[in-house]
Amino acid sequence: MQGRSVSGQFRAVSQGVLSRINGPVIRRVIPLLLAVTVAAVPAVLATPAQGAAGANLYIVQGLPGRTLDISIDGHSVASGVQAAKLVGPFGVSAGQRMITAKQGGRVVIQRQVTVGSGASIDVVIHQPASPTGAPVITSYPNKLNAVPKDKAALRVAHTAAVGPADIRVNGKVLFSNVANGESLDVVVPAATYKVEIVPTGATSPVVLGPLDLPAKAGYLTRVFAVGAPSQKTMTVAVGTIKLPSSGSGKPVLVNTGTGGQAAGLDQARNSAASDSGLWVVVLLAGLFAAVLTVRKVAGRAVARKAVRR
Amino acid sequence: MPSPGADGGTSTPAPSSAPGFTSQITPTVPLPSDPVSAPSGRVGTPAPSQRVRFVPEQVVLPGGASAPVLTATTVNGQLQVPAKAQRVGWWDGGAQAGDPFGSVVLAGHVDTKTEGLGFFARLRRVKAGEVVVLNGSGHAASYKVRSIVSVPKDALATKSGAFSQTDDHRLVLVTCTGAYDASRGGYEDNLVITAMPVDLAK
Repeated sequence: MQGRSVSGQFRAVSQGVLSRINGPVIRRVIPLLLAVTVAAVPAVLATPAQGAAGANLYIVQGLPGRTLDISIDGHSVASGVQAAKLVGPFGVSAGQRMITAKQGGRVVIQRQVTVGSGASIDVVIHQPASPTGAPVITSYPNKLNAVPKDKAALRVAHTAAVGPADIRVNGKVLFSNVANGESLDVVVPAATYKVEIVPTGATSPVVLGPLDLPAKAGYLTRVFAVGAPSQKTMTVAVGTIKLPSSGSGKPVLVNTGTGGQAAGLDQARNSAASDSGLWVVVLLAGLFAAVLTVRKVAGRAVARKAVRR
Repeated sequence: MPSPGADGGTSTPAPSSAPGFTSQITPTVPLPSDPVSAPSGRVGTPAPSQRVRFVPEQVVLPGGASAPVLTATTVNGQLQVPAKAQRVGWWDGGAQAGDPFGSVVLAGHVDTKTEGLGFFARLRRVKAGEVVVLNGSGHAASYKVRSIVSVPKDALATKSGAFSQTDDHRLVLVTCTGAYDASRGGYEDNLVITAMPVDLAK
């Protein structure tokens, strides 16, 4: 069943992605960079100004069946990157950065990406909605806003060769009508969610999943749907970034009444209600007395008129 | 299970939300020696169904009375509600308005020694089916009152579910009610009003 094999593929991919990021890529990159710097003209290679604001770039290889060598501004940062792998972060200077992906020495795609200082950006090499279309590069800035400690930020990007999709989480549509190139972000309680991707407005066919997506507390988890369901290459790439922490723990006590006036109001209302019979009598007695007085006064006035005549 | 710390590079991610924030990222990829030009890559855009979420800055009760909402933090287990009786606090560990899950919790004084009746004394008049609106950052979210209960203060955290972040999204309004005992520092109970979202935050 396609679903099961994709799910198994996801688990293998996710393990592969994360071990890659931690170890071999970085260790391989540094000697490579050193080799490049030694060979090049010294003046140009002055380390970008100490303290100059830079940015972090991550690269997502979203082209099924390809093994890509990635360069930034002509400098190799990762080689032999397989589909659904996420590599980085690579520290770069702010400005226009050239991203080049090659396979066997031939350029597969090359695009300029604008990078702001202090930014964190996922640069995704992926298929357009049609699986036969030429590869594209789409960049997604990562919002690194703080979250409370038991919450998780999620950003899901549709970078797969399939039409607009709904992303169902634990059986409910959480993101609807997401087209190729678009993304959605959300903050959820940290948990592992069952995720399925279906054509928008439908419940089948399930083009991806159901798969278990861990949304880790205190992290931004970026999920990239890549590949082509029609070619059975649909899968996900996942990466996480630790976020600053905000907010405070659950209160045990909420003390929101220190004067007692509200309770006093209740008491007055309650006692008025029970004495209301007495008040009515007093009121009527007052009215009766007023009526008598009016009649008396009116009587005197008539008498005076009568006397005048 | 994926291992933690995927961000194992040589750079430290910097929060980009603070204006004028200077990044500590030192670039390790040198600038190009001979730049080549190429078309620009695309920039991902949010899908139209992107949810709006915001920290509430104002609460409007049925009938139209409104109050400013300030951030309230829990210190030593006690929620630090704004001292001023006409202001309401938003618990900063809870959901923001518009989130898919979790309670947005607002708490305010029913009364204070110095100011008398507080804004949330009005909660005692609220009825099921009425609508409460939260506003903030140019957005709005409406919630329809589903339940009004009073719970002993020492059971608020454990029995009311008011602070749960894993249930469906809701608005929870908390104040005090019940018998008042000055010698014991205040009211015996909390009044907890739960309201469910009418629609997505806009």
